[in-house]
Amino acid sequence: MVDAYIGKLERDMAAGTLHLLLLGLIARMDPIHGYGLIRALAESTDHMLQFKPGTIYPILNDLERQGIVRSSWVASASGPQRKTYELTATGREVLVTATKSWARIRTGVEATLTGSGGAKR
Amino acid sequence: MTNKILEEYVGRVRAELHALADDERDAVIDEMRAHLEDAISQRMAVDGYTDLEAATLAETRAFGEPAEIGAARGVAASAEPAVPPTLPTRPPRRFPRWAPYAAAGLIVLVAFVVAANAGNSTEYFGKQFLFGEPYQAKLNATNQTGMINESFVLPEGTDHFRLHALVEPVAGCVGVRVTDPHGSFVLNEWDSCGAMNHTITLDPENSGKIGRWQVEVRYTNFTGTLAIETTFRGWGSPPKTN
Repeated sequence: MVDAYIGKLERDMAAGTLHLLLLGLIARMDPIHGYGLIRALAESTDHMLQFKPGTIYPILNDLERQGIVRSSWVASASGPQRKTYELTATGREVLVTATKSWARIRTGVEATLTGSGGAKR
Repeated sequence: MTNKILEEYVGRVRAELHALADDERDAVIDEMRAHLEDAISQRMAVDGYTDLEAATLAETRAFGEPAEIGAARGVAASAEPAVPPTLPTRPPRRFPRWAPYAAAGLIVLVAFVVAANAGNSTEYFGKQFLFGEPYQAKLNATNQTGMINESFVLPEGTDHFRLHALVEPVAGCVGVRVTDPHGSFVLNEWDSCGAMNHTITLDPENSGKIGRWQVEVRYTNFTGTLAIETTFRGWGSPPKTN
């Protein structure tokens, strides 16, 4: 039961950072297609974070609907066209803000876990 | 050459996305297909897969179950799916309740999808993962030695069955033995200590292999990948899942 709870904690933490990671990777590697993005996500986290493509693509489509990324179909030398993604200007602003938010959250969590935060006995 | 497993999977996903607008669904399918073709090519070119079927099964499993894909997009295949014009017609048949597959936590996923309706009969496609990622996790630990005995039932009405066994060792050994309901070995790699990639395709209705199958695995200090999965198809009433 404890293992199941830890598994759930880890999944929740991974899910909570997924959008930020996707934006960060797209910013570094754009234009990038979904398959490359999913592989990059796994490789950059040393395969600690792996998500099913079936759940990643809807997120990309949603980011596009919100104007955070844009996509375009690109001809491929081998096989069908590939849909690639890049950040919009709005997306770059979102990434900057979200990265700062992540830094604040991480600092707060570490302070709480190490006891260096404000709460005292 | 058409990749039949890929096309079947795409068809199932398309059915799950039935509620999307046509152009949106087509765009989703096109992107998914491009991903899968890239991923399958990668498996075969770099990851050592020599069997297109095995590579396709691995990648479609990794992509996600069609029902999950539909759920992730906020749609459900609640509407009656279209009947593919190429489906053969079959006479209506009674079908027993599916036995629950509850193999002590080793079953990762059982998914049944109603692919089409043809009169009073329904063709369905079932995929059962016997040894999936949780089992691989166990065998990735070092110095793991032990045995697993598992079984599954091919019910009456099954007309197509495929079992795929993949072992990619990094260290140690895995032996696999699959026995049909009559006690005959259909796969016997019990003394194996190397890579394994077997696909068994049967027509159970004609070969009398309806019933309970046994899968035995023994592993010695094994680290690596072990995946044994079955796919089967039949005719009858949609089965209930647990």
